Amino acid sequence: MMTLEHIVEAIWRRRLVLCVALVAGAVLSFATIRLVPSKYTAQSSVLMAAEQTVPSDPQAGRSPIKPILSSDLPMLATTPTVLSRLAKDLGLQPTPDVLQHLQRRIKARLSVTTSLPSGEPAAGVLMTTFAAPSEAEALHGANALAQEITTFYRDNSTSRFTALIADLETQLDRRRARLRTIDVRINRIVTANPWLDPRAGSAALAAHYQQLAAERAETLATLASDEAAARTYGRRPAESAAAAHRDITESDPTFHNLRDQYARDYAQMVRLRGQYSSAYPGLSEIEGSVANERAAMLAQERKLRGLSPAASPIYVGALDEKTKADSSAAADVAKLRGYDALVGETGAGIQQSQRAATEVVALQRERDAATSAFGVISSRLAEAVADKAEAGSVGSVNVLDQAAYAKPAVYMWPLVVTAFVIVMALAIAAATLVALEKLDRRFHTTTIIEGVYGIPVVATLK
Amino acid sequence: MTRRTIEDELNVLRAKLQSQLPPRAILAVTSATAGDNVREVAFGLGRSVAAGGRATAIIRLPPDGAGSPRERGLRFEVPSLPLIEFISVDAGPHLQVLSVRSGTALQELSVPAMRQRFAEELRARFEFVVIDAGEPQNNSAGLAALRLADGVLIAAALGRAVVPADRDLVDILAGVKAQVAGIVTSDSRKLRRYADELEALRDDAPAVPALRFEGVVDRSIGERASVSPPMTA
Repeated sequence: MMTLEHIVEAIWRRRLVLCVALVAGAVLSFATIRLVPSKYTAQSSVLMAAEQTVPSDPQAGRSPIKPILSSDLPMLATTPTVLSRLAKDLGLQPTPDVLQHLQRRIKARLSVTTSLPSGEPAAGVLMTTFAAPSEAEALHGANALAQEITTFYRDNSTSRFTALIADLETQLDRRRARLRTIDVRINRIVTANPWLDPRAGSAALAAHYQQLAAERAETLATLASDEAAARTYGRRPAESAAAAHRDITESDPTFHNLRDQYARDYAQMVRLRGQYSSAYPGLSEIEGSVANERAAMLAQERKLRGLSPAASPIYVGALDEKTKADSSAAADVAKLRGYDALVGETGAGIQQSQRAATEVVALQRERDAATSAFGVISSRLAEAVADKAEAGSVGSVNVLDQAAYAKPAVYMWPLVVTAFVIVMALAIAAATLVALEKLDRRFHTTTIIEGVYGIPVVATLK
Repeated sequence: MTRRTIEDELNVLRAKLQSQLPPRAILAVTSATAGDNVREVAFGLGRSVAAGGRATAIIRLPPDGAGSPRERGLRFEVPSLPLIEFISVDAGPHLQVLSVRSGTALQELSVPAMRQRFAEELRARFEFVVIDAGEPQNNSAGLAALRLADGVLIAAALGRAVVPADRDLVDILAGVKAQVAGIVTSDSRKLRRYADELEALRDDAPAVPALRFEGVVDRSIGERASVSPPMTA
């Protein structure tokens, strides 16, 4: 039996060995703890809100809208579905080994705050922890786990609406595609028939035709009037030719001079004849001069008459009027021809549009029916989505708080590491001491000496 | 708690021995191997007893083969006349260290009558005698000392390994019917001071003839003893 004194003595005696054992133990234990994989734990929380119990079924704690109670939440954390989704979130393949490994790293604890009248928990906070080798992975895993739990819960709560919504959306897609096809066909027909109104059909074209016909009749009347005017004005140049010549003659200054000279001389001759007898010597001279002047005047007049009447403004005006009248008539003729072409085309278009209008009307009717069905399905889809939202919100599960940090495992705390190293070093040193003492057969204690000699030790000098 | 010194331990040991041994006792200190601090224990114990005012002698026995011409000191070799002659060194008040002079025939102590006479002579002169018996396996004088002593103290150095000589010593002590008083363990380093003092005594202190003991040639006739002048206490 070793006493405290013996122990102290043995420690002092083997202090060098113990120092080596302490250092070796410290190094060994530190290396050992460093070989242990790092472990960080992050915690997130999920809140399940309280729900109203169903009055018609007070015995049943479970609601048809809330299929999972708060007490079931911890089990959700380790369901294969949640684990598989979590594995995918973490970039892992959801193999059985991976799922089992993830399950071991998850801990879920429910903190119930309220209870239903039936005694079952109605609301609670699920504290989920996720352990990982790194702080970032622990954080990511804890948050992904909380999110997947809520997603899984909502999926289950709204699963019956999901199929309905999917079916309605499929129907809507089909209806939408049908409407698009009808619109394309209507647009193609309308494009091919510009006058065709998808709503009014060929009525606009008919009205246009009537307008064209009216305008044509008006143009035809105008043409008749203009042709009559043209005929009238066509005679005006011939009728104004004499006046034009007269105007030319009258407006010629040479002729005027000749005529004035002739008139004065003729008046002089007449006055002389009245005053004098034929024997007046100057009478013959003046008569000869008058005859010459008259001949010259007539010659000038003949010369002027040989000129074109176009030199006279009168004649030019007549020609201009005739030209204008002819132009108006020609324009009316051309306009009438244009109207004739348009009326012909419009008439043909009306005939063609009648077939297209029939087709458009049929398509429009079909589109109206499809639109109505689309509206009905859309309304049902909206109701289903609303029901799903309601189902997801009643007794809903939400992420209450995301993990913001990850705590290292206890064995990674510096204080714990230090304590572990110290304890292990001391333990190794103690074990070394005990082993050495057990194996050592030297006279270190009186017990050994007395055992060898069978005689008591009476004194120890040291 | 105040740790007891070696002197305290020796005083306690002295008290224990004095309670066990008769007055004017002869105590032999022996050991199984060399290095068990037999001389240091004997010297320390003798000095402790002497410090108590009792006339004490410490007898140092040479091992077998000692006393050859190579040893220093005088040599009186008279084969026909067994002689045990000691020289004394004054080691302090009431303390004499007796060394066997070279050439002394310690083998005569193997004779019971001689041994008894020798013991009586010692008791007549000293109140307490401590004999450094050394290792009796190779020391006939030491073996004789074990026989004549009133008590035997075994010295064992702490830290040394157990050797077969320990068992042999047990057998020897049983064979000579020695009265074993106990074991004294010691730390040689702590007792170095005593070893140094002993060395100083042997090398520097003047040795004077202290005890001359002559035995008889014919062991059956008897013995005669020549006693040196009385020792000063």
